[in-house]
Amino acid sequence: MTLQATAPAPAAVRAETTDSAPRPAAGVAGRVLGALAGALVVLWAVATLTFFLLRLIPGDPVLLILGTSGSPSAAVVAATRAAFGLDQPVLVQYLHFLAGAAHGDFGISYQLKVPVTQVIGEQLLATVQLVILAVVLAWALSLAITVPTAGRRPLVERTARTVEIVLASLPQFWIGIMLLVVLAIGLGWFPVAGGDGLAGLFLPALTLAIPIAGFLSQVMRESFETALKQPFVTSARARGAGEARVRLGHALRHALLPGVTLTGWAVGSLFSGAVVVEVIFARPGIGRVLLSAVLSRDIPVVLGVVVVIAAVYVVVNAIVDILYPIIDPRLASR
Amino acid sequence: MAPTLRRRLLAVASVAMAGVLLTGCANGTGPSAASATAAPGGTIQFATDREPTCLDPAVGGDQPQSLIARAFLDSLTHQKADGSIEPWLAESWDISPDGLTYTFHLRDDVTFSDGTPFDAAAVKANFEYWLDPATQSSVDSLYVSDYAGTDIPDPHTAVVHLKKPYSAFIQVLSQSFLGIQSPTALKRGAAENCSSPVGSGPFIVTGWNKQQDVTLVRNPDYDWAPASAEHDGPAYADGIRWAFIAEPSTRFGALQTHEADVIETIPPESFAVAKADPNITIIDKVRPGGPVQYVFNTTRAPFDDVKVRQAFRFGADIDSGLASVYFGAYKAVGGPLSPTTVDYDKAFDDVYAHDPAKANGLLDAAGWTGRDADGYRTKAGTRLTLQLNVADSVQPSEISLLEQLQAIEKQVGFDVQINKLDSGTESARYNSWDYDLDRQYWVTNTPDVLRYQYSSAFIPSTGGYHSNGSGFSDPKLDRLVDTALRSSDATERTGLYRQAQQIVSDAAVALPVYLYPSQYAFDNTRLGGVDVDPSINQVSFYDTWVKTK
Repeated sequence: MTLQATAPAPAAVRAETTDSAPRPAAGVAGRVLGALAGALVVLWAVATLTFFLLRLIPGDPVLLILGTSGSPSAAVVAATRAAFGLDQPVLVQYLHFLAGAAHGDFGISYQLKVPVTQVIGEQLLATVQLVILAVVLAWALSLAITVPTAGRRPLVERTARTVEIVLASLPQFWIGIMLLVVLAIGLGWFPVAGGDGLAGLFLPALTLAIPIAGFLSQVMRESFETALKQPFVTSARARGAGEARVRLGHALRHALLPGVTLTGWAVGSLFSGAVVVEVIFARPGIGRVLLSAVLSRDIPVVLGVVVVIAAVYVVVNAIVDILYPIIDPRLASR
Repeated sequence: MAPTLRRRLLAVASVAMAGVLLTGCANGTGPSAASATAAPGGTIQFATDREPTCLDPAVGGDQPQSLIARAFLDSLTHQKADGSIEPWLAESWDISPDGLTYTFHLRDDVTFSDGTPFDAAAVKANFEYWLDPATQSSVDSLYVSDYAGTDIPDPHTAVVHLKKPYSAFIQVLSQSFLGIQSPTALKRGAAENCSSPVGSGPFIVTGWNKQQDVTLVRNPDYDWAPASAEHDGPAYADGIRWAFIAEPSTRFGALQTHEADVIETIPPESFAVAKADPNITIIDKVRPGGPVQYVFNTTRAPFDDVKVRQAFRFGADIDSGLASVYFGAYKAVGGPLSPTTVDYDKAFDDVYAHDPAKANGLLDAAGWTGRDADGYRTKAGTRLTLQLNVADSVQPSEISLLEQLQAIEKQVGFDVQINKLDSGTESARYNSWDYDLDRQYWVTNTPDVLRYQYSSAFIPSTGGYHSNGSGFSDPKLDRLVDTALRSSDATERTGLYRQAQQIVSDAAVALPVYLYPSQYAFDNTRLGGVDVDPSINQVSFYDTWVKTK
């Protein structure tokens, strides 16, 4: 669930997007329909896999619903089992789930007793805000590191690379606590817990952004340096373009593609993987909902969140596909 | 490894915080601007660690629910600080000589915050609600399981019949778990009742932002506080923002930066810092009932042998573990009851003081005389191994405590395997008796907890879960706790419960590790009159006033 653990993902995402790009032109409508059908299959497969995997792990949801701090009678246990349909055969439960999900109804949370759509709806905005700001900050940090230093003297270059590696490998828990202690508790610039608006959002987003900025810089630096050695850069310089114009106007565009691919993956992973930051800064969010739902075997909530996250991946990948030809027109005419 | 790293980081954080705190004290403004006496107004900013899954304490039944329920639910009876019981929603009660009939004479001036009048029909509806399997109650349904029915001779008299005499009845009714809810509101169903429960308490729940906070406002009509409360009439504060901050250092940081006026559970590493700060007042209590302990599974080897169990207790050195892991913030206990429980007997606290010689002697006598290459004891080629299961909900600090236990028990030859499991797996193994040690605690205000935890009546699984985690079965103990439950004579009960504690202690069926703390820290320049509800020592804000508005 952490960035480090899923680091190889960008390559996979990239492979997927490039595979789907050179499809035969079957008309815009056909392509859109095809993409939609593909998306539905992905969502169905993810939900089905999750549904049956959750049955394989040990633990009776009913006893976790009732808690282990009392002693529920057999009648209470039976009534609870029946109330959530857990007395039905697994296949019946599965079909029931599919029928509901098709209408956007993921059932009632075992633990919270309210509809899953409501549980997710209450948390979605907080997560979207956090992810967007984290990505913006990560890009800002990463461009600030890469653009001025790529292809410079070895000392500058090496220092920048070291900074990138350090940023990419800092544990989120440590970054979060340090930012909290220094900037929120020590200097009082930001609220410590929760906090509405941009002030409360900044530190958690920065905590998430720092390691991503490290990864982003690493992948963009490679392309940036390659671009700087290309003939078009030499010719731009020959035309008298200044260093800033060469870097921002010509080379940067080539460095963006791997950055965009990585961002697509980061957005998906942040949707579910911001748990640590959400806990430290006492923020609401989908990640914490998912974690506690998995631990308490709150199957409807787990399924609902997993489907939402899968949908986010699908949408983000679609956006990345759309962005590619805009960034690099050569991809459009291929 | 992870917990150790985390602890170190927290230590760094708390050192940094200590610096911050000192600066804060140096240029502190002092309480001159604050009002020294109680006056209405202001909002209490409270931060606690765990968020309830449902605000209605009857559903399931866990500590965060009873904590918040005290703010909006009143009970039929009220427990005073000295442990005695006084009237609350019930003005008085008569108990029939056979102990089967309780006649409650109810206040006639109480209204629930949704306008429904409080009367005998409401009392009847609440009993029925607690026992209705559809409510999915684990705690309330157990505490009133001997309820037979309620007669209503007049609107303000509730005659409650029991199937069996139940001496703990009046006590348990004082817990907020059994707070009385509006019967009109109960009919709305679980979804609504979980998010906006309705009672007659000093505050009213107005909103719940999941994973953030619950907002409560003052009940302006409140005029039925128990006699031992510091004042009458509505609460002083306009309302409470009841925030959930899971991370301990963040929660303590919120107190230091005045984002919170009062917090629950001080991080142990910050306990000394908080204590040294003149602006912070610490309420340091422990919950009644059974302590936090690791129960021994006596139904299988090697803990089926009492000598091995006693050896394990003599081999443990909990006091030094608590001192190094919790910096003295958590208190040790030796017997099966918390000192804040009625009929607690301190005689059992030091029975198993750390004594490796005794532990070795007992293990030799039990036949575990061999030693393998790693230094663990063996018997007939089998290593003396114990499976200790902990769920993910257990704090990293407690895991450190268990690792110390593991190391010290190795010295006498025990091989303690600490299995860190997710809650589902842990619960599945617990329910199938697949463990040697598992974690348990039980918070309640009566010694009847001894029955739930050690009577053989609670060994059979009721649909899976058994509350007698040791599987300990002794007809004499069963008789003692049952007799005590039927006895209306307080002195006789004390004697019976003393014998019961003796049996449990002698049999060494659990390793108590610490008393479940009930700790609150509040900024005394911002709040006054913060106290606990004595029934289970959880904070109550009825008498609290806000100094800086």
